[in-house]
Order: sequence, then C-alpha cells, then structure tokens
Amino acid sequence: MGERPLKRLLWWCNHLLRLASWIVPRGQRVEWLREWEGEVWHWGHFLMESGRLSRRTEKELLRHCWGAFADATWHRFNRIAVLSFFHEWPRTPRFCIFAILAALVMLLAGDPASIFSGLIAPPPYADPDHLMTIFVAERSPWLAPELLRDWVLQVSKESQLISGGAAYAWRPSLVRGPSGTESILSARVTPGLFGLLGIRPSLGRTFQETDLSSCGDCAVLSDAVWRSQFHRDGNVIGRSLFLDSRQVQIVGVLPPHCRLAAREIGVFSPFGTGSRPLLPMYEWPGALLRAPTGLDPIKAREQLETLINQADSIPANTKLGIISVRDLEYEFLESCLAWFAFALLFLLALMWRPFARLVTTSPRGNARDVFRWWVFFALKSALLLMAILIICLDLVRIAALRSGGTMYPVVSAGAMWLFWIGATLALTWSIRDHFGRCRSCLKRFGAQVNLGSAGDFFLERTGTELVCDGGHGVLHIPHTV
Amino acid sequence: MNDTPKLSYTSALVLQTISSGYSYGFDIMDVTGFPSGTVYPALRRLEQLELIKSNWETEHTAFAEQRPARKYYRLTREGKETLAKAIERYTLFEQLVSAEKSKRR
Repeated sequence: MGERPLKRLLWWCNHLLRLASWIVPRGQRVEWLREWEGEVWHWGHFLMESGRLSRRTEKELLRHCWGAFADATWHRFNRIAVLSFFHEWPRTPRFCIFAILAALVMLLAGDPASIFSGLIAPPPYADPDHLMTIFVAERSPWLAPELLRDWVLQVSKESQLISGGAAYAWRPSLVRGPSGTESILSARVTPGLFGLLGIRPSLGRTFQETDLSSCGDCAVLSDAVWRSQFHRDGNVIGRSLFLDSRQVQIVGVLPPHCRLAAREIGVFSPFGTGSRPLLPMYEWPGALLRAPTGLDPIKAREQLETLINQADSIPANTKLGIISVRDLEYEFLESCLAWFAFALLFLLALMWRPFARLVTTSPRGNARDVFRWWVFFALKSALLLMAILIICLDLVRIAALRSGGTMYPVVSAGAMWLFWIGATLALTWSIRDHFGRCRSCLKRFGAQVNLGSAGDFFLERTGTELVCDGGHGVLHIPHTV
Repeated sequence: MNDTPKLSYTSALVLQTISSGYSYGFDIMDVTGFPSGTVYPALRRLEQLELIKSNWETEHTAFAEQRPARKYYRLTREGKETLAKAIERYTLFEQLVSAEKSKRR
C-alpha cells in the first residue's frame, strides 16, 4: 500500500481526534490534540513502513481513535475532580442556600403557593369596604340557610341601607372528576352573589336568575379545582363532574384567589328559592350585603347591625355577626402576622443560650468576615423558617379541609404549636450548622467541631480547632491556667 | 500510615509496561492489548498520582526527523515503589511483560 491510503487514514483519524477534542477543557485541548495526533502519525507511518498497513490495521487504528473520546471525557470529567467536587460542594454556604431555596421552590410549586399568595394578595372584590359579611356567631345555635337567604332577599329589596344582597350556604364536600376524588368545600349561592362581589369568570359564565329553575345542576368551579381536576383545560365548559355523588354540569370557572368569607370554596351551585330537606348542621349559612357607596363604611356597618338585630324571621336565640369583607381579610392576615411574630420572639427568647454561644464564637477582627457570617446565618434561618411556615400552612389547610373547612385554624393553638416545633428544629439545626463552619470562608469543617461553653471560650480553655480545609481560621492553642 | 495508592490491575499493568521501557501510549496499547480508551485515562490518572511523569521530546529532534513530537512517559520514584508493591500483589506481571518484550524482539 502507498502514501495515499495512509493520507486518507490519517485524515479520518485527525478528524475524529478534532471532534473528540471539543470535549477536552479549552486549556488542555492543544496539548491533548498534539499528543494524540503525534501518536496516530507515528503509528500510521510505522504500519506503512513495516508493510503492515492493511484494511484490518486501518480499522484497528480508527478503533483506537474512537478511544480518544473516552480519554477526552476523562479530561472533562476527571473522576478524582468529580469525586472531590461532590465531597466539597455540599459543604459550601452556596450549596446550603441553594438546597433550602430548592426546597422552598418545590413547596411553593404546589398548593401552598395559592395559600401564601392568597394571604398577601388583596381580595379581588369590587369596593370591599362597603361589602359586609353576615355570619352566624360562635356558640350560636345552628341556623337553617334558607331562613337567612329569605331574610337577605327580602331586606335587600326593602331597605334603603342595602344596595344589593346575596346568600350562601357552605359545607365540606367530595368532588369526583377526571383526576379522582378530592375533598373540598362547596357552596350553594344565590345567583346575584358573583355580581355583588364584582367577580368576572375567567371561563364561561356565573349564575343567572333563570338557572334556579332551568339549571339546578349547574356548577361554577374555583381556579384551584379547575387546575386539580381538569389541568387548566380551556374546553371544560359543558363537561360534568360529581359533587357529593350528584352529577353537575360546569358552566364557568372563577379567577384565582376568590374566597368567600375567607374560605376557599371549590364548587359553587345555585341556591334555589325552594327549600330542601336538610339535616341540621349539614350546611352553614352566610350572606353578603352591599352598603351604598356614598355611606361611611363604619356607619353602614352599625346601621346594618341594628337591622339584623331587628330581623323577625331569624330565631331570637340566633346571634348574627357582621364584618366588612376588607376587615375580614385583613383581620385574618394581621392575626397571622402577629402570631408569626409572637412565635418567633418567643422562640428567640427560649433559645438565648445557643444564640449567645453563636455570638461569642463569631469571627472577630475582620469586618467582612463578621458581616458575611451574620448575613449567611440570617438568610439561611429566614429561608428555613419560611419553608416551615409554608409546610405548617399546608398541613393546617389539609386538616381544615378535612374537619370543616375554615382557614381560621391557621391562627389556632394547634397551628402555633406546629410552627413552634418546626421553627425550633429549624433554628437549632441552623445554629448547629453555623457552629461547624469556617469563620472565614463559611465552609463546613470536615471533622466535627466541639466548641466549649461561652465561659470556657472567654477563658480560652476550649482548645477547639477552627481551621477549615482552605487553611482559614484560628488554630487555637489552649493557655496553661 | 501507608500512603501508597492501591492500583487497579489495569493501572498496575500500565505502570509495569512503562517500567519495561515502553514509553508512549500506542506502544503501551500494543503491549498490553488494552484499548486506547483504557490506556490513556490510566496514564492521566497515574500522572495525577505522580507515579509517572511525562515529557515532550524536543522540537528540534522531531523537526530534524520530519515528524511530529511525541510525549514520553517514565516512572517516578513513587511510581517505582508503588510498582514494587503491586508486583507483590500481582505476581505474574513481570513475566507477562517480559514475555511480550521477548516476543516482539
């Protein structure tokens, strides 16, 4: 065989090598390619000069060139470097923050996001100051929803103090759709309720007066149920699902964050004028009354309160309460924030010892190190507490849905204990994690760090090594007392 | 504490081959019968562990002979010590490479 097959062979080999060289890190690429090309050149010429260049040896050489990909991959993903990376990376402060952030994002990707944003987002109702919620007061005997509805419809026609009224009755329900069975709250509402709230459906329509007679099995879904059962299907109108084993037809979907008296209602159905035989305590009644826009909200509330107390059709032992929708929403948010702040302060007071140790063992001298140390601690702890809060809200929401469906248990003692336990664990971990970090680069020490008590530290009797792999820190040599 | 790295069979054989005088990649492949995808990463690892050392032949020599320069590998002192320990574990090594060497002659 002559020069030509060798040139062709080398051409192919060099192209393979150049292709493989893209895998090699840029800084090592030239030398890597030089070595491989040199080897191939020598091997090819050796084969030709020794008369061994044949189809078989050509294929053999090409096969060897494919091995360059494995070598190049080794250069890119050096096993020792990769192992070292997996050993070192989890100890860095960045990893810690990223890991907590990732957990937070995962938590926020689910339903808690809607709770959290629902708490912060203003209610999507028109003029919530003049919109009053009528509710059955605590410890008051149960009231049939039909009684309240009839009174509301009557009083909204007769009284000058009311520009519009609507009634509803809510209950825990089971909804069965394409995505399975779900525990939700459902409500029967009078047709004018959505107009009174100023809510426009994101799909389809809400109820009309004619629906009471012609469409008793119509239903309007909340955004959450539309998401969970139909995965935001735009063609959901006209489809059906089962609400407490009764087939209902979907006529509309509401926009997100539409709450009814701080409750997340999943399915709405029409509240007909005819009464239906209901067991006591089966449904809970409520009503919404809108005061005229020109009236002062506080005065309007007082006057409406008088009107409610004079209602003849409501049993005398039933106590009704009244609150504006804005106050109801903000009362809930305020109580949440107050409870959160109280829980946090109590926790900080309870954990003063670990905090004191954290202060006494914090870096000294270099202002940048001190700043980074405390900022990292604050960020890590804040993110952890946020994650705990979201988990608590979600757990409480699930518990609330199963036990009656109000969002108020968030402020209940049970929820507070849950948050305390979670927050104590989170803060304890955060402080422990901080003790075991380099005071300069904030990397976790490889070996366990055993810090002495605060007093011991002042007396310089701890004898603890505070040196990380990077050589930062202080190698403490205990003094002879 | 014994700091000598534990070598795999492949790495030890590559080390023994270099020790026997085969000092560049394709020659080692030819003697050991290992594919290039095994030999080269093994060479990189041994070099990283400082058991072998590589050096380019001078451009002057390569230019004079009208060919590209080659990279040669040789054992370091640590490499020799490690190989001696590996030979104790893999007793057939010396025989294998010596047999191959005499066959090629």
